[in-house]
Amino acid sequence: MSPDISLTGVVLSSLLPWLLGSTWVYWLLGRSERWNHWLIAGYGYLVGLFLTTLGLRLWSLCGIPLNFNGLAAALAGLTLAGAGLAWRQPARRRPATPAVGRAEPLIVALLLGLLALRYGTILQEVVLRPLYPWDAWMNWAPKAVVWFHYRELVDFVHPLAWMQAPATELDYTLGAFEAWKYPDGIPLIQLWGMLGAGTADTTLVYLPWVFVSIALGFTLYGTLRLLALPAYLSMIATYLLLSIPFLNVHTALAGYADSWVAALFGCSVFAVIAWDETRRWPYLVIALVLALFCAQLKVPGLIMAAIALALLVITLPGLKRQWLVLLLGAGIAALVAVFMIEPDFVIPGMGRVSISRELIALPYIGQHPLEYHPVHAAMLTANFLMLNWNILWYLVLPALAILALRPAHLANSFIAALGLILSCSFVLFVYYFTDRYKYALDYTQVNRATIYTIPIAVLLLATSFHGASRKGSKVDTALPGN
Amino acid sequence: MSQVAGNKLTEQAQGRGYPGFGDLGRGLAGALAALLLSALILAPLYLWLSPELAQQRAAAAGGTARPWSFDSGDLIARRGAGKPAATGGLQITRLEGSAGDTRAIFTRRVGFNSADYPFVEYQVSGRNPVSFYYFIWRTADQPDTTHHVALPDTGDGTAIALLANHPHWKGSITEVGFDIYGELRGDTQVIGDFTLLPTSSWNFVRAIWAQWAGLETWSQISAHHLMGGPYDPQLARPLAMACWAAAAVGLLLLARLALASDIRLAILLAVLVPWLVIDLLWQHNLSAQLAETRLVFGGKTQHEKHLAELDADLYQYAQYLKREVLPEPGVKIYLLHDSPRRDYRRLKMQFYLLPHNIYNFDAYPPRRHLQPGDYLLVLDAIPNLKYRKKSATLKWDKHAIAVEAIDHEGPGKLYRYTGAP
Repeated sequence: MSPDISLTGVVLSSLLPWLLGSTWVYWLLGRSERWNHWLIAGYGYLVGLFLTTLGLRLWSLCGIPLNFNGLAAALAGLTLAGAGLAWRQPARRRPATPAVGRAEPLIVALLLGLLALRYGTILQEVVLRPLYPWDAWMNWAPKAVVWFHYRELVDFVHPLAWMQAPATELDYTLGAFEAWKYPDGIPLIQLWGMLGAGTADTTLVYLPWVFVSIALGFTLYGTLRLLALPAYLSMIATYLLLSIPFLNVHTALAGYADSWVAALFGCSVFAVIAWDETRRWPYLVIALVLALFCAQLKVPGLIMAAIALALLVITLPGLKRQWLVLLLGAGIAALVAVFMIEPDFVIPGMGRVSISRELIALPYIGQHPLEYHPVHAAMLTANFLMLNWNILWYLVLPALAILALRPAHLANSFIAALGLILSCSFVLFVYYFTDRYKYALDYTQVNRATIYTIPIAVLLLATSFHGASRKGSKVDTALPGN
Repeated sequence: MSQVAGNKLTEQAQGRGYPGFGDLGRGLAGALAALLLSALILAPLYLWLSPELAQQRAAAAGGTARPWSFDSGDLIARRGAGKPAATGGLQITRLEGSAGDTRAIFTRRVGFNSADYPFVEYQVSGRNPVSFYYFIWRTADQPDTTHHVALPDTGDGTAIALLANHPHWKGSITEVGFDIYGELRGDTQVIGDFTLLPTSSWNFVRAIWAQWAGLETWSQISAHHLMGGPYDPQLARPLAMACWAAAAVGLLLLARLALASDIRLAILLAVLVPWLVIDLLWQHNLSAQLAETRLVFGGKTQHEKHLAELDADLYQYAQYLKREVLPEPGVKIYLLHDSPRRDYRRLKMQFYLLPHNIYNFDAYPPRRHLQPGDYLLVLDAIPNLKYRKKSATLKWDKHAIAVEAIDHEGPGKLYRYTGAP
């Protein structure tokens, strides 16, 4: 361990977001009995980290040099405020004690043991190995290192703008041509770790890559328990998700944005499902916050956030099934109309909007020629033959087929199924119809997009198995744990 | 919650189909029985239907080939060095080549028909995760071309590699041997005697297992995809496990029709066990990788870790420039390198030079945009780009700019632009 690292800062920068978020999520969810501690811990970390990045932005906006102690004190104050509000909240509800069968602890313990071994191994990899994966040091870490040095969020600009800027201008650019405009969420997470550690050059900055996977596991388990799935089934699903090789790689070789988008999108959809199931508005708030955070992580995060929001809209009260069909029809009609009208205009300050059968150009998303590319072989290899997803897709496809054939089981899996179909459609559209197809053929990108769909796929698998293996079609919401 | 209430909930749980020990035992027994039966059906079926195995048998029809063992100590070093090991086999003592491309090659002359020997059994002891072994050969048809098959790292025991699937394992084989690439780390690696094997189902199964159990170390493609074996595996792990699970589930559904018993837990476990098989192999891989990571980076400061990386020369050069040559971060630096955009060395150098302010896209100075005081870092050699000391200019093609030479140490050269000549 290098002597110039502040271990106290590392511990604080790791714990504070978790405490901050958990306190406020507890304040939100503790208003009814429809919550559990797993959800507090899972959502808590993600919400807390979002608030931390927000704090960094606000601090910088105020023109004050970024300072760990000051910001940590502010976050600690916010945590105490949240704790005070939760304490004063009238009639705080305790969650019902989840039911367990006698053999369930055995299954849970066995799988927890395997996960402990897995994440113990991964944690050591993260701590021991200097920043390794290519995009991590090309696209994401550099912004954080520069911000850490100047203690302010220095602008990153287009390479041509960089060249034209006077020498006195403190603008930076990155080594990949388009990376300067990537969202700032990931570098802000890194910056927070650097401020805590007191150095930009330590592997401990990447501990959040382990924490986010753990938080994702907590949230999946908590959501399944909230949906009245038994503990052993919820644990099996959590084990399946957290043991997926490609997710493990993106945790062990920390520094990419993709596992974050997967976690934030997944958990946002979980919150929509919880909102749909419980009709408790705090889940709506959490879904919105997580979608907002998701949009700040990576360009595709914008699309995933939009999908989460679309799912949220169709669960709004008063939206009857007929309306839903109408909405879907209107959406399709609008899409057809757009492709017929072929709009092409510029939004000042944002960029060009152009949609035609040959090209799609959108602000923040970029410009992509549209053309069909047959990438079936690569898609099949990536999803069914490589090690990436274990045998997940072999299980999800029959689950979707069962849901399609027996819609009675769909009732409680509808949002998850729709979320999975929409997110998979996005991935398939990108690699079948845009110039990104080459990244499917060489496998450099396609799995990093597919990973966004994985948390929902696992939840769908668990709920559809639970639904299909029950006699009734509707989950028994009277079960303890709800 | 009181104990009574807690018990009530547990009883409630039992009543609602939450598993007790009896349920778990029955479910597990059902799943394992179904998986066993499934394996007993699928494995022979696969071997019977395998076109590769059928092709091997057809090619070897009438052949009387017997296993053919070779003493590795008899191999001749074509590159690098080795010596007969005290315990038998060939001890590798030296790899040759430039950094990042060090290897040893050992071969011997042979003469046999490739169709007689679709497999090679090998053993390498003391192998580390960053030493890569290939079985190599030449054929009578292409005497100047060397072909290779990667030998998976399955530990110190013997393993089998499938040769017959390689498009150039054909005709008369005239030379065989080993190509070792990577890092040696002492004299611990010994190639045991190796044996060419005739076709058999058992050898085929062992070759598939070696592909599954082979170690896959981190590389820059790990964050993009995980092969879980060679690029063209004989049988991909997920496919095999999915078929195994599917057949077991099918058998359980058939059993349900006959016995009308509750098979939900058995189905769940019949899917979970194949998942676990892949997962345990993956954990084995991760643990082996961690042992390697510990060996390279364990107990080191961050600075020492960087020195242990493959691009330590870039790190050291960047540290030197930051410490002794460059002014405070903020000045504009053009990093020039004779490579396309997104080249590893130019990008990693930019990263190591952070927080310096760098433009990193060109091989030659962008004349129109240069401002006096800008720095130009020429990393590695760039053809045609020359510094003329007499005129204090950087010249390339028909262009020249006035610069001040700042530093010429290390793999790069640093200049400061002083204005147009």
